[in-house]
Amino acid sequence: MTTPLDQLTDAQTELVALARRIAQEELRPRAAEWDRRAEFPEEQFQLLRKAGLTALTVPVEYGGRGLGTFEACLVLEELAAGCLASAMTIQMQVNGPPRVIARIGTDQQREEYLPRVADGSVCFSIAMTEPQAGSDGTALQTTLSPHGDGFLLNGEKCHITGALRSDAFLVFCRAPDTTGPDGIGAVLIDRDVEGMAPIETEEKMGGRAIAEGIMRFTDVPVRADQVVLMPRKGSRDGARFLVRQFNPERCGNAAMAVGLARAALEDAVAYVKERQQFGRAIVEFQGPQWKIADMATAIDGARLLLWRAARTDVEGFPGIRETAMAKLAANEAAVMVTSEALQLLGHKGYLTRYPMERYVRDAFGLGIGGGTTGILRNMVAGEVTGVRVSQRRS
Amino acid sequence: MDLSLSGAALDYRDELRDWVAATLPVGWRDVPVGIGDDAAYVAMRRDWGTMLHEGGWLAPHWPAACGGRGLGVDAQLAFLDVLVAAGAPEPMNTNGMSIFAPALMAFGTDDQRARYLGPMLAHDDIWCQGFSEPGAGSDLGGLTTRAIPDGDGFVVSGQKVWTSYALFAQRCYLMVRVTGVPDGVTMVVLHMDRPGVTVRPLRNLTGSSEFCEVFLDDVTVDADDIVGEIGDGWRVATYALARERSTGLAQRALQLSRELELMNARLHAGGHDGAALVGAFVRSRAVDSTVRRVLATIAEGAEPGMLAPVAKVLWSEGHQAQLATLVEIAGPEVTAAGDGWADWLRALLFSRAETIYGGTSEIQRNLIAKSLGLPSDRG
Repeated sequence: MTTPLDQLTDAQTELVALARRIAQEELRPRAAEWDRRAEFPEEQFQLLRKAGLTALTVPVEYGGRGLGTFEACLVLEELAAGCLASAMTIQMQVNGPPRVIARIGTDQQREEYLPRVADGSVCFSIAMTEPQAGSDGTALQTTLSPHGDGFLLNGEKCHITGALRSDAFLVFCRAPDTTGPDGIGAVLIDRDVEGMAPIETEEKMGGRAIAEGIMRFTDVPVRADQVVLMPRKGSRDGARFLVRQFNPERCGNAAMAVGLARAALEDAVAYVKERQQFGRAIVEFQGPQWKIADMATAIDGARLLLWRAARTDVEGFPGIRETAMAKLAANEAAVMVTSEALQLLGHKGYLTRYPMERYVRDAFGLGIGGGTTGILRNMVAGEVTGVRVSQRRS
Repeated sequence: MDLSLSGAALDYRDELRDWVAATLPVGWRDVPVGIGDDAAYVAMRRDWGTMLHEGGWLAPHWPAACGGRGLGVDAQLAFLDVLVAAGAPEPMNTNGMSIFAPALMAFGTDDQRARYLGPMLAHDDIWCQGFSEPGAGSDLGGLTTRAIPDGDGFVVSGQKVWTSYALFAQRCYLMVRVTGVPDGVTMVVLHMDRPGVTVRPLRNLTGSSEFCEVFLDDVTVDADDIVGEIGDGWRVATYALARERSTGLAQRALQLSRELELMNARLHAGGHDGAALVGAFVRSRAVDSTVRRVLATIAEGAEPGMLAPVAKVLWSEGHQAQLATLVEIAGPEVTAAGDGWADWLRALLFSRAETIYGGTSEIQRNLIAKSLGLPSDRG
């Protein structure tokens, strides 16, 4: 039953149908292969690019479809239900750095990058996390120092999703002699520039096809026209922007979590209806029924929170409170639903022969990337109480 | 119920503690269950079992005639406490010693006890459990592996699954259904080197393959390898499964507290706030106490009843929650398996099996419900 809360326009319904068809027919059959090979799913990305999905949120004047966070979430849920890695290839384009460029970039930056994002000829990653700056994002140490007409970039970034494949990066950095939220900014860097060490990767538990990269910058020259957000000593504007610009990505993350959970639930439902024990299908037992009910409730609850958040999209950035709640609910739903689904499948769930174990591995990562569930709770509490307590030791 | 150790158990514990401190190789300490390369992991646990046997430490509560020391079950608790405190691995034959051996003592013949218990303790024979089948998991009574009478013995055909370490086992305690006998469920000893036995490892969530499929194609089982009576296998298996739930998983359950200490230390070393582990600490104390109550109940000669499934649920679900909390705190450091976190990541993944093997959490809850006198859902 469709209610005003989950009503879609005809165009949105068509978009969902397109993404679902691709996800189920093209992505899902090969998802295990990409995971096993731990390689970027290039063929899938090309397929999605040709379907116009890299252009979703790029403004119309730059060759995109000009859609918003809500439509991006609709698509990402469907894609993740087929193959999380493939969905992640789109997530960074529709909810990542291109959104920042469209919102606060210069005309030159928009003209240089956005048409290429739209046609899929350039892939972006965001370089935010550092070894000592994860949940504590404003502890970043990568520094942009004035040098001649431009700047030099020095520092180290890690956990850069998709770094090996990306052509360009939005790198968060700070002005010299600043700490904490003071003096944060961001620059655009193309890959393989002078002073950038070869990107290293880390093995990981889930989302294996989209490698996490480590990038090191040593006196990387940066032109003034590569600066998106100038880091200025004495200004906290960059830190405030840093928090807001994550919200589309967080909504996308939540959408993928909902899609992943949905795939696990659908597989589990099929299994409990088919699996016979004690002379009947195990769906007839109360225990599995209650699990299924809890799983479906968690998914629908998370989706409704997500759609609310995505619909608060103002000038490209959804609200902080709504987004944090949505990502928290979706991430926890994904871990709970995939874990319970594995349990329902018993030993079949635990084997690599079936997709369920991959769903479980993938689910954990979604609750870490883009803000851990712990940090999200801090944010929600701050929004609800109005008391924002710095977690930093004073 | 007396949870304290007797004087004999205390003496045994103190001697064992000194021996372990002097003997256990450093590299074998605090290796999480199911870790790493299977062959190397099995070799470590097998060698450790052999060393414990040669030191005379294994199965202190077994009768002397069976290779034990004739002490009480409290000595076995002391054994587990010492191993857990030292971070020692489980001896490889824990499955056979704690699950099948009690059944063999209760239902087997003198000849069977003489043939099998010694090599089991010495770790010359590694044992696996041939219970689950593709169509008989939680519904073990639905097993279809057939044993056709052939002379005094049987010819057995069928398939077992979820058979831990079958690839490394010499013996298997196997449930079969004898044809031509009403019900016909029978427990037998299978020699894994017999023609017709094929073992295939199953790659799992952790990337390792300790669980296997075992295919049986006209495999001969000798008449003197029937444990108990033909058609009485369900009683033997129920007895063995009760031991699995009570003593078989005790070391892993008691390990929870130590793992938590290690986890806390690791988080502090990494500059993380471990306050979120308080819930895990509360759970680990509940698990510890329940396992001790189970063993104390057995020591008094009583059956643990509902306590055993309670302990299994508390431990297995508590372990998953404990490791999930670790991921919440340490985040990508764990999931990227970097900087010494790889063992923790594997433990996290392996913990998903713990609510499945040894009877799923759902089956444990059914057992608890039955003990409470609630009506059965089986119709």
